[in-house]
Amino acid sequence: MGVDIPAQPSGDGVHKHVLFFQDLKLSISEWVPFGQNAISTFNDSIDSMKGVKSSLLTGIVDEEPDSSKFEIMPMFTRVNLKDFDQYNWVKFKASIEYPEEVDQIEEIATHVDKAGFVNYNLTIEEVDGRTSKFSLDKTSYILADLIEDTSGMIEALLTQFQRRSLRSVYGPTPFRPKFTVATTSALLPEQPQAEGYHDREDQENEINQIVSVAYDFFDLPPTEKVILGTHGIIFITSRPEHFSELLNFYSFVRSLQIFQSIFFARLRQMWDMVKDVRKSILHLKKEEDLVRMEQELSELSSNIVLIEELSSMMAVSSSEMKRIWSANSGSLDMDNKRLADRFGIDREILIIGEKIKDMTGVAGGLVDEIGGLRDMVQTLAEKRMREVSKLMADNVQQGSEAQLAMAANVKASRYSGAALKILSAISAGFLGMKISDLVMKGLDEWNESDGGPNWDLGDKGFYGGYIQVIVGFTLWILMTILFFHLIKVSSAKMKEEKLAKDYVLNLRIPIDVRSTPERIKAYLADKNVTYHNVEITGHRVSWYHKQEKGDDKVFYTVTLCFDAKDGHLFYIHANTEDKKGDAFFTTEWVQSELLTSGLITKAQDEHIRARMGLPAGGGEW
Amino acid sequence: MDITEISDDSKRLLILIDHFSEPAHTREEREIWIKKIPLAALINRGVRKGTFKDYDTAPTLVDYKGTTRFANISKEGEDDVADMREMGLVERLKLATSHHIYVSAYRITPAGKDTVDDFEKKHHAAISNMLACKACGGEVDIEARDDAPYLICKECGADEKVDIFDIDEVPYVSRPNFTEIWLPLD
Ligand SMILES: [Zn+2]
Repeated sequence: MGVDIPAQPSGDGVHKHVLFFQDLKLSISEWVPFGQNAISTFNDSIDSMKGVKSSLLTGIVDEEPDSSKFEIMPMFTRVNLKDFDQYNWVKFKASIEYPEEVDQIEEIATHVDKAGFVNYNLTIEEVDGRTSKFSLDKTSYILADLIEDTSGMIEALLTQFQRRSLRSVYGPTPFRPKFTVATTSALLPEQPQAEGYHDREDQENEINQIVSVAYDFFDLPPTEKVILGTHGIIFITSRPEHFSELLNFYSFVRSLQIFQSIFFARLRQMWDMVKDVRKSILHLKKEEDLVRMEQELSELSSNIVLIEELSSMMAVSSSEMKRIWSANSGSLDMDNKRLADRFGIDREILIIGEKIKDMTGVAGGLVDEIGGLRDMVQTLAEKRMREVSKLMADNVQQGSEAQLAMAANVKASRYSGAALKILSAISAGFLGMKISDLVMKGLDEWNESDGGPNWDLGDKGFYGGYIQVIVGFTLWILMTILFFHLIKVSSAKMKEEKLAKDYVLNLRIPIDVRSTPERIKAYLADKNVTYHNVEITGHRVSWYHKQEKGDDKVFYTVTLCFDAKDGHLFYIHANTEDKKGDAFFTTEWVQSELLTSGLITKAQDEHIRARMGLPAGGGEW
Repeated sequence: MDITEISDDSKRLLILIDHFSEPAHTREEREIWIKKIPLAALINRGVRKGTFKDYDTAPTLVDYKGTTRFANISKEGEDDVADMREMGLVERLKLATSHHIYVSAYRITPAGKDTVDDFEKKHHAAISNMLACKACGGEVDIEARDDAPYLICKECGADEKVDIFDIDEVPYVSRPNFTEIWLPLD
């Protein structure tokens, strides 16, 4: 924290110092997903139950070393317990110790509770050798230092789940934005009213170094002055204890809001990634693209799990916030009441709750969307494979009857069933998205224009972006439903006509049995495999099969999907367009093949048939 | 507009923006904009070299290549850019990045270009001097690399890191301060 490191000469030496804190207490707050379980785990990890007062913890268990672009210096957090409640909260003194530095570094009063409110508090006694009149400019450097150090400090006390969650929202960075309250008895040179600091020049520039963007300067007569900013408050008072409960609670409110805005930016980013995948599905060129998409989607899925979990934790926190407020707001004195009104705490709490509801909706939509895309990619992979085997058939069996049958089969299946559904869903979603994109763009421009509302707090464009996403998302859903409905109506008609003419059997037999790699190899040895693809979901192997039925032969394309490492059989696809190849007949020969080759047992055979709703094998149907 | 109302620092800032941006005159022409952080890096260099007399820098949380970091940013420079936007000398563009943070980019306007031409020679010289390559004196360009923005000489290719992410340490002494906090209930 810089105590033992002399200030580096910066080369300029021309820092301006306009404003000074007579004295200074700093409170820094953030929202971290805690909850009752995490508090309890945390209490266990610092052994609070056993009366151990001081423990040393480290957060350097980096499970994803290649994803952390920024090296976090190895450090330890020393925790000196002050007080705790096993399930609800804990208070301790914390300090960071870097292994190579011997000296004790500053201690910070830390509060952590199950609502996720984390507060770091300290009184500044000396800055650069001075014991009072601390320049705001220098304070901004101390704050930068503290904001970084407290991030690392608390990291050491978190569970892997909490760390992963934070990373899924902030990315691999030790710099998490926080909400600061700087309390002082006087801001020098003194102004009779808070508004006096609002000069749009040097004073305000220095104030913004502490609170980001100051947007409200007001007095609380007779003695208090307040400067309110997007990421902090300067509170001028001679009786800080009188307001500390309210200021701390307001910091909790604002910390959760800061977290929300970043969380929401992350949701928007995930929507964009989903859009990209959707686009690539439409312009699919190579087999490898499918594999890449599957990977992207599975990464998105694992992130969305954290995101969903986080939004439910925020919801819990928001209701805790309501409870705390209704338990305490009634007993505030007049001064605190006026301050609470000016902060608009009642309203902010309501808004937080509403936003979380919306976010939960958006996150839920994302989950469905990602799941849907994964299904599409899966089905596309299968469809793709059938096309490839057809192409190979063209080369191998020129002119044969089988080839004609297969070509017809592929063509028919392309227009019936799953493939059509998928293509229509893709184009509906894509079109709907495009339209809502245009509307969102319009909103953006309206917001930016002079006549628009100009929602813009800081650089993140949060409120504007927030409304746009809600509007855009709603539009997108409506459009998608509308288009999908239209396409469904027309495709149902088409399908009816098709079905009258063509017969297509796409039979999927769910095997789900553990055999051995050797047996699978032996089984495939006498198949004339035309297509073999290795994917992250397993091996897919296809071949042609002629099955005698009476005097006739029924032609099939057969696909087996399995894991080559552990010998697990996932499923078999048997497709034909010969009417004689009905589901019973097809299941019968496939199952008996598997049985005689020793890939499945008699019991497993019956189990599979039962799952397909078919009678036990061997009988006459 | 009366250019005597514009401060020396503002004039130099506008000359700087002029160096790194270009409005299109026809539909076919490409516009050149400079993004906020590279511009902030150039201003930072100007502050350190004394080109901007009344500017100061302070640590500010910014988004750089998808990661949040503290950077030494000049609030005065930011203010002056905002003022010049109001005067119609500079245009701002807000871009949504792939990380979904909005970044601003700036470009001089045709009116701004006319105004720059009227500025005293000494201000132009000061910016040229600030942008001169350490090795050969040639003009530099700015490039946002992963760790920080760099000045790259257009003549000899020499590069120089602009340390906007190097935050000075101020030594201080503190003590923990436990304050009253309303606790969550069972
Ligand atoms: Zn050079």
